[in-house]
Amino acid sequence: MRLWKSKTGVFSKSRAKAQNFAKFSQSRLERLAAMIRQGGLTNTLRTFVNFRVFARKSPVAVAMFLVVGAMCLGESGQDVWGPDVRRVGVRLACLCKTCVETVGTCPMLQCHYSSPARQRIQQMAKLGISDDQMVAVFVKENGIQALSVPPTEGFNAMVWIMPWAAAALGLGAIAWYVKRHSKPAPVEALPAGAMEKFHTQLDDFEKDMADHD
Amino acid sequence: MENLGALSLILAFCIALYSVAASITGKLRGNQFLVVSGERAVYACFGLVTVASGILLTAIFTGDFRLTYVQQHSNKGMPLIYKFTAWWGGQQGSLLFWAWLLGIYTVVAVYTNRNKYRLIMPYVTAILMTTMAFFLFINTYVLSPFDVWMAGKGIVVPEDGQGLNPLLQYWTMVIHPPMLYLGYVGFVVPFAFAIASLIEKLPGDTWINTTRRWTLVTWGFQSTGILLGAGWAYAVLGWGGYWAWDPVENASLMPWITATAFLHSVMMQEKKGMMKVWNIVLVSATFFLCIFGTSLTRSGLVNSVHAFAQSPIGTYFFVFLGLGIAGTAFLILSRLDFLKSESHLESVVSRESSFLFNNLILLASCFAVLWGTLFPVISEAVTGNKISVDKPFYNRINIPIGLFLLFLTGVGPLIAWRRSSMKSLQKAFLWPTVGALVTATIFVAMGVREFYAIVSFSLCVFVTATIFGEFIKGAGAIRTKNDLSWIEAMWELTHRNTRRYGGYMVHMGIVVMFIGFTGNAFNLDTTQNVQEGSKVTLGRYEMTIGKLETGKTSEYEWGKLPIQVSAGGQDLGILVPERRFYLASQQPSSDVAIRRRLSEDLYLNFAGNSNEEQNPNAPTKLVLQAYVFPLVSCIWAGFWVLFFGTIVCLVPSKVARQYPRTQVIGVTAHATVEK
Repeated sequence: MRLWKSKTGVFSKSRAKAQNFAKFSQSRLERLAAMIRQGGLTNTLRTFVNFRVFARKSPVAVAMFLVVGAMCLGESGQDVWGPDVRRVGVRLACLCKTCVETVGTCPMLQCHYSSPARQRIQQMAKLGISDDQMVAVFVKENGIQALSVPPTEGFNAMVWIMPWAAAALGLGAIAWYVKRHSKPAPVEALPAGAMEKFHTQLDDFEKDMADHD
Repeated sequence: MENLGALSLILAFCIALYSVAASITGKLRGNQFLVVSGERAVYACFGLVTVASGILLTAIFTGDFRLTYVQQHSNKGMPLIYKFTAWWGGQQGSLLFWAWLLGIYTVVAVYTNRNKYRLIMPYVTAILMTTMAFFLFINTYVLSPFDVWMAGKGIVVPEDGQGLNPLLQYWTMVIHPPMLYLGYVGFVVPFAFAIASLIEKLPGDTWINTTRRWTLVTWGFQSTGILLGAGWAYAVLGWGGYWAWDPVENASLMPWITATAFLHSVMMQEKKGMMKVWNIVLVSATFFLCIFGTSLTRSGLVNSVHAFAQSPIGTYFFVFLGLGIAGTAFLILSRLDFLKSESHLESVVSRESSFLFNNLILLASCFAVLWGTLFPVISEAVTGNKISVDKPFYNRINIPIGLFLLFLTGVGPLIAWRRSSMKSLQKAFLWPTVGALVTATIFVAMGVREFYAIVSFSLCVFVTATIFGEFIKGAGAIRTKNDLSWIEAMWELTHRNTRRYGGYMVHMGIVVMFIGFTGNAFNLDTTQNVQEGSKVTLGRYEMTIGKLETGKTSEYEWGKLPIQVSAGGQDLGILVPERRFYLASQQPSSDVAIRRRLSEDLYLNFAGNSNEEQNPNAPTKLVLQAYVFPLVSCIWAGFWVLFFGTIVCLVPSKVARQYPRTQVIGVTAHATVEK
């Protein structure tokens, strides 16, 4: 049996694997998360290079580090635009004609459309107007182009339906192709007289063999 | 000089037409002199386009602002390198650049095949030069780069030009357009070979062998161009995004997708003699999507921040597209017998089927992008109402499609050609599946609730396991047999079949890029009004705002905002985002500061102040946009892996592979021939 060596002795492969898995326990993950919060992901990775858990070269461990690092990023500071703007803004398209962003994500601070739109959302939120009502205000003023994605009704529902319909059609085409091309290929019919010729040759061959005998 | 430039273009246009006529006539009449004359016209045409390009560049470098193009896209203060980029920075110049690159491709194609493929080369030349003639027609009669100001009313020489858009004055913009154009233009060559073979009904798969390498090179350029564009958007636009599903970005992505589909399905034709019609359709679709993308940027059909100014050339492009598509469709339909499959699918669970699904998913993705790009126009035409199709649409449609494609990236290499037994499937998929499930479980246990992020990371592990498994399995066998080290065995393995293992490297690059894309689910950002001494906290980072410094160069006024960054009490240094105000174009621009790490980027944008337009240097109400982008560096790292893999694919294999096929009822045989 192939053996793994470790600092603590010699293990069978299966036992070593089991112990390796056991190390990925919830408590270890929590400790890891705490370390990353305190020291940052890069420093923690550097520290962990010498750890046995990392030295086992597990891709899972690498992925775990990266994702835990991403999770452990703290909360956002006090934003110029509050959560109302972000929440409602992503439902509204930026109509500046130069980007395909939403009001909530348009990065241009002086955008002639998104900037006033954000201020209005803030004002409406202070007045206690609901999200749907805010969106309705923008739609009333600018038509349905104010929405970041088209409504799923009428002709505009086609924007959602068509990509999946095309994929379904393609799937059907594949099914047809597989069905058609999976059939055993037909054996081509022999030309007329070929069978007689074959029997004649066979008879001659048998005669020759008999003569030799 | 401008007259000489314009004359060169007119002559080049006439010679391109002559080349088309001579090649076709020579072929039809069996007159080799005419055929050769048509080919030599290619060199003459390229020479004339080069002369015209040289004249335009000279005008840009010397600041000849009598030319409207030079005046609108350059100025005296621009660094030399950006003056060079002004060649393709505007509508007319970019069309001339298109024609010049097409000239290079055509010259290379004609020269390298001067003693090969003589049956089809006249048609190849004719198709390439027809495309050339179209672009030269636009450059000569519709949008000339040699127009002068106030022509006919006394030439007025402006003192200085307007300069290139400040956003385009960034190093990746020096390389990005040429790379993308090399991609766009290069797809003409495989199209020309495919159509020429179809016209001639050339027996065998000659055009496949010829064009696969062309397509791969072009695909590499297109990939590089797209990634450079993403890198530019990330570093320059000030919002940290690398892809916005802008119509012009979509235009570059669509031909890349169809070319990717072709590079996969072409293997079916090489090894099994299947999907011949489909391959012709894919090559043609890629070419037409390139032309469509070029027109989309210029016609004003859709709104885009990247688009050139609106111009009347849209109609010409759509006529060219219409005629081209109709002609290609006719050729394919009239030659269906010639394109019959030579083999049959032996099992649904086979490599062949996985390629079919791969193509389906790629094409579905391409269609979704095309549909989303054009739907606002279609909807307005049908309902009369304008609508917006923004990022949320593309993300909702393309994320599941992309993840399924990632899944197939892992599945495809594990399934054998012809058929796979359940036992072999179990053996091949066991550990990758276990890896994926363990990853998903860990993320769920850690409290991650973003469904797509969990699926994406799990699939990344799945695909990585399959790729590494393939390498280890192959290298292990070579290592045991030849007593080599692991590295030597890996080298030997890759060298024996560069296409296969280079392909795996490309897949690995895609996986690394997907890790980067998935990091997007964990982005953090804040926009705050700041002043000297104020503190901003984002994630684990604490930022202390320093004193605003201001200054002026010959080109722009600038304001620099030093920001002391620390994390967990540890000093991480000073980042200095900069705000510029370009004098010639009267446009503000940001020069962001990025702390790049593989795990995450801290991205700071000094977004100016609220009264910037009145007084660019006013130190009141400074606005700071701060972002944390986890794993975004994986996208750039993944690109380098993909690029390296593409190069490996282009290296000839140590063992030349041939794939003789027996007809219809025979058994597919694979043979390897030692060189």
